Amino acid sequence: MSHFLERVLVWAERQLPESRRMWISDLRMEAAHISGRIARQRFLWSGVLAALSEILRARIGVQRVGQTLLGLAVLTFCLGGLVVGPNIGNKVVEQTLYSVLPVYGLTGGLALLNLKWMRRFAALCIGAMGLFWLISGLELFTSMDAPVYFFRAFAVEVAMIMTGLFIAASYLGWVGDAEPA
Amino acid sequence: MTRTRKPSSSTLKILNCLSGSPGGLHGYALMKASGLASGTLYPILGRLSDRGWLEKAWQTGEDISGPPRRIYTLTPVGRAQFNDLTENYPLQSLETRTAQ
Repeated sequence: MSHFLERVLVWAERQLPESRRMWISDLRMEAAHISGRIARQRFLWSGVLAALSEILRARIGVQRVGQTLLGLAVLTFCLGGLVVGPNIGNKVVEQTLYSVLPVYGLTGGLALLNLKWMRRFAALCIGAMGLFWLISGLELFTSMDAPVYFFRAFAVEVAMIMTGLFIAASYLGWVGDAEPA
Repeated sequence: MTRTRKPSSSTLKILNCLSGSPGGLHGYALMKASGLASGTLYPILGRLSDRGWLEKAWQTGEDISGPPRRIYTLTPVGRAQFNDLTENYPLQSLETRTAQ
């Protein structure tokens, strides 16, 4: 196992520019001085994980990795909604869920493609949901024969999820701008 | 636009361990002393060396067998930076273990 881990480290070293790979050779040489198979393997495993994440950072960038994960998470959430939808057993809830899934789908797609546009879209959705919540609170609508309270609660939930996504996108944008520590 | 961040607690731990070892420490001893994993420790050592805060030297002498071994010591610049940092970010919360 130690031999395999060392080979992964050698491979990782070749993938990185000179300025970012010096520590890997130091780590490999230090590993040869560690007595005990388990201790040496733990030492190497930790180094391998760090080297692989360094390659991801160097080749793709922290922001790109983050926004891909965020986009995939939102799209998986949508897929989950599609799977769960037919089993809800309540037409109103089912249709409401289906009406917001395209919104989440578009947010996930934008997260993958363009973080800035995703933030704008999330802000737009938060505003729209807030407006819907305010307008649907008017007596004209609350007195209607429709589950208005459910729709309002659903709007709040969508707005909260969109706020979370907005914060995540803002954080990723900040990470992209900031220097490595 | 670039921004400077507060140094991580791992960075402060490493500097703290090295400041108490004028003769320097090799990577494994530093790992034990700081309680950090090798995957956390070595990239930080690389960055600190690039900034000129650390000096890397090969261990010499007859007591070493196998491939060469790096010894890390704080440079005067690194020591000055560490002193500045400890004024702004106290080390009270850091749990460091004594090197064996």
